[in-house]
Amino acid sequence: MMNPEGALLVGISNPDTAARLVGLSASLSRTSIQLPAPGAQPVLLVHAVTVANQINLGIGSSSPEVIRARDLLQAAGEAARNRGQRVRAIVEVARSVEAGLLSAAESHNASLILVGYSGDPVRSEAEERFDRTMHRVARKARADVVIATFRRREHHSILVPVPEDAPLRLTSRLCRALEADTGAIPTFLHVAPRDASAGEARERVQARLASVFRGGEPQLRVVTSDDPQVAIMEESEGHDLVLLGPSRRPGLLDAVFSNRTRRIAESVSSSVVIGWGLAEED
Amino acid sequence: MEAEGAGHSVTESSWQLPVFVDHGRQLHAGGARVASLRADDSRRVLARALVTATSIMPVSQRRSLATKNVHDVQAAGLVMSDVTTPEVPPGEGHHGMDVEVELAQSLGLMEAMTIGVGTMIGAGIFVLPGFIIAEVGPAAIVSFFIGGVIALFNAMAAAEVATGMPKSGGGYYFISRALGPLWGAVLGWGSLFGLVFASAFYMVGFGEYVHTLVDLPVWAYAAGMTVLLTGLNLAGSKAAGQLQNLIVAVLVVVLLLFLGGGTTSAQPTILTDSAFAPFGLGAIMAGTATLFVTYAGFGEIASMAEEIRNPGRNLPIALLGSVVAVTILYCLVLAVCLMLRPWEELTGATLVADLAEDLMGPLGRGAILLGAVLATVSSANASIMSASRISFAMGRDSLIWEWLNEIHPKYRVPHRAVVVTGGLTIVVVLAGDIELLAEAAGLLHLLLYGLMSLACIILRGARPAGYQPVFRTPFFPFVPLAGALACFGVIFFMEPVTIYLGLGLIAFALAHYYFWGRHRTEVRGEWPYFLRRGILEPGLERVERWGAVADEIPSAIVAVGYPEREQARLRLAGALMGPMRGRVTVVSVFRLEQRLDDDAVQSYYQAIEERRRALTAESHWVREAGATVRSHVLVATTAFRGLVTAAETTGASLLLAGWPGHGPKVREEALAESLDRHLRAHLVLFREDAPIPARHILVLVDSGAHGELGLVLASRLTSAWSAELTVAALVPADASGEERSRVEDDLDASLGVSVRARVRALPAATAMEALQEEAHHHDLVVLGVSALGAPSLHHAVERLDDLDGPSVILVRAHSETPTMAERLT
Repeated sequence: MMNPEGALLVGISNPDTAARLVGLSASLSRTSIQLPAPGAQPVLLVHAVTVANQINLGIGSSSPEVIRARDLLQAAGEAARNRGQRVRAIVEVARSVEAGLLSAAESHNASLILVGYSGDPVRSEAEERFDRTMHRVARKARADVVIATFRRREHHSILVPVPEDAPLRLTSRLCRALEADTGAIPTFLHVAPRDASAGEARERVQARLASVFRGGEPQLRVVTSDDPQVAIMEESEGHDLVLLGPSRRPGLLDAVFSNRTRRIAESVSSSVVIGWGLAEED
Repeated sequence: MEAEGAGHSVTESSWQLPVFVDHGRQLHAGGARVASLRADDSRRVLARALVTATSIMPVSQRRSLATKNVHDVQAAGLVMSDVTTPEVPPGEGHHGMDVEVELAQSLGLMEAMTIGVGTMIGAGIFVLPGFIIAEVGPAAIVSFFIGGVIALFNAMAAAEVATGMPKSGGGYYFISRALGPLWGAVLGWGSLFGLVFASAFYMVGFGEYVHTLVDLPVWAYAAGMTVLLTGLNLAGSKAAGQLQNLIVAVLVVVLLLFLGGGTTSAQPTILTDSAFAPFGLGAIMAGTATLFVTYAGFGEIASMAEEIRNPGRNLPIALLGSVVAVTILYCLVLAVCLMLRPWEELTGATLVADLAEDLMGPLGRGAILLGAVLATVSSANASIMSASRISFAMGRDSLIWEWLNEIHPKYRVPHRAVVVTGGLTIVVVLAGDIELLAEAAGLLHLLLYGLMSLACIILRGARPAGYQPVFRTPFFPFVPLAGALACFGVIFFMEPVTIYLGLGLIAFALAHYYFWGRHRTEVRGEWPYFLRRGILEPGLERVERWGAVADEIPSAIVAVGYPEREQARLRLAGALMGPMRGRVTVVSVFRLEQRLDDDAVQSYYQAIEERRRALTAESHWVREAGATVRSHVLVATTAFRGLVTAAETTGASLLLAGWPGHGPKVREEALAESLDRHLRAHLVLFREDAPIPARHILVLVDSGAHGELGLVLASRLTSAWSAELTVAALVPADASGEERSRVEDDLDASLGVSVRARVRALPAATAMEALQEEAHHHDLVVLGVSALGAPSLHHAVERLDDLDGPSVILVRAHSETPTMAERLT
């Protein structure tokens, strides 16, 4: 089971997205609702360097890639420290990226894994590889997994689609963190079937949101559509960031993104954050 | 240069760039840029470089600089390995962030077991039963059982050494550290060839099975699949590794199906009605010799020790569990075979498939065929990968050509090692028959495991630093000894041609070591310490307890200007650090006095290279004394900066330098004063006036830490050189005989039983007066900087200039080092 007091592991591999991830991790750390003392969650910056099977792992630890990774992590670590985080930076030498992330998460007791994603709509070999990697991480990690794609520099509004029965623990935490990180206002979106009563759906969803977001009046928008995916994509036009919370983890035969999540993530022009919670409890 | 971490201030505007260069490549560092790096002629070489920058820079800039150097090295067409940035010196953590490097331990117990079982269930159980039964009769089952017991004994030893030092390289690593580089080289080459023979055996087994489907020559299948596997390894494919779990599951299911089907049709009378061991005990042992290759895979678990989670628990369970499981499986398969047909009819490479066809028709044959193909291909693939790793481990120890281990820039695999392994496998496939291949592979693995058991005994006796095995072999030393003897004993039952082949390979390995590796490697075995600690001096531990300070000097730096002229200082370093198996870094500071233009760079390179060669050549004085040596030419604008940086980056706790005064006086004074103030390590200054090694050593002790450290160092020298030691303390010139006796008694009592020395109270008005009186009786005087009452190191040096005759060692203990009294309390 996930350790609620565990570290927040941030996969750092791209200098272009490192700063954004560090910023989000800082907010996530401060808004941790599972810790007795908010803000006490340590941040673990991890860069996985892969070594071929034909080479001893120990020898790989002195490769030039490790030196470059140290530079990258050092800059990211100093940025995180400047934000007041308790931070450690680790180059994880592994046979594969997923092995590195999972090993670091387990040995350092991580409760959340955060990684960045280029979000390029053109599928490249690197993106396919990323899919496979994150598929295994999301399937095997004993921690929440969050993937973030930053397409816009500034975020003023967040769209948070909420299915009626989806767990909201991680979604609410991400929502708080993004709100704190960007100052953006979240708008919750519920897509009800066309033949359903929008009013009743609004009441049910509003009640759930109120129980999760105590002390506030979450802004909820309910639309009716037979295709939630299209509805979400249309609604995202007016928002800078979309927060998606797939209802379940990928299985052995699933792609890391379900077709719906993948299409939304690749089609919208706004930034996207996707989170899979472990042992979801509302 | 624009460096990262620009927010940190650089405290000097023109900073130096010391560059450590190893293995003969030249890395120029002039001002703020790295000019170029060139290889010898047209050869591409593997450069090992330790790149660092001075301590006056923020850590982030140092690392950035080191990275830039790496880029330049790569741009020059070279392949870097062992590139190391400096560790953050103590107290500098606030400048930059520490970045840790961890190895991912991603293999759990099941994965480790899978590796062992998957590698063991190779071609052996599918191909060999027919040959072994024909050779041994029904007692073939005993041959398999004996093989399992031998493997189990050696697996226990492997578990102990692997949990004691979980490092990559497996048997080669453990043996080279226990028995020394000679046996390491023999076993390294033996393992490489053993894996080549094993791959060839697996591939021929593969060919034997596929040949039954389409009638092409066995060698064609074997060679073709070898080419394919070599290609996959060159492309860095991880497909086979990722499918390993699935393959093992299929293998186990196939064998269990065979056992299930066979058990229902088995007729025990077939087994009981015939003679059990028609060819006697010799044939049984010969059978074990032939089949041992089927147990060879358990060592693969030990070789991946650093990747296994919780190795203290999972390694032994995986090692022993996989051997036990496979032994039971093999014996059951043999038992079923022997109860299905009379043993005289059980022959051929495809025996198991033939029997499966009898039991379950074409489906049974197909299942066994599938199992055999998967088993042989996965085992051969694992062998090719393992060979690359051993080659790398040997390369790290300079026992094999580094050329072989070059990493392909695109696929990031050691392509030459893979091609050589694949090529040799094809040659062996074409040259040998299947039984010879199995025996040759078995012989080299028996040698490996036998010596690994001996390594277990030696390492436990020698107790090297950091060696703390979680698993301890039961009934020590009988189990590892029995394992080793059994391994060596089985070899004598092999065919003479196999033994000659093995001897030929060993001769090659010895010749290669003698003519090539011996001069390059810095690996040392623990066996001298095993003899010393375990056999010759059982009470040594008690004696060494006194030398608590010894453990605080795990590494030292020796500064030499012109290596060929300063052998005495190197011998002194060897005597100080060798007996404690310390690490010594021999550093020669090459002073960069001006910014060089491009024309001057060439001659500068040559001078640095000559210095480096001399340094490497002369370092043997230290190595032969038992210390681990690295040598570096260090480029710096001042000797002080260079030495302090070297001490910080190598974590040295002692710096041994020459006596100030040979160069320009002002500069030497400045050097001594700067070192005195800024060096965060013990400082030892040495003046050679009398020959080294010294025969009569005088140490003048005083109450401070400097004198105590001097006493420790003097006692080390006395022990290393078998010299006579006089420990003296200064007493007032008018001290009575009673007072002198009391001081000598106190001195004697403080030394205890561990230091054999004559004690003397020296009546004199000053320390210099006492030393001048005693000088002609001794050829080496050791004293702490406080003994002379001088206000500074420089003043102490000046006073000692008046002392003629003996060599002098002046000791300044690092102030953070606790005194002997503090240590004892």
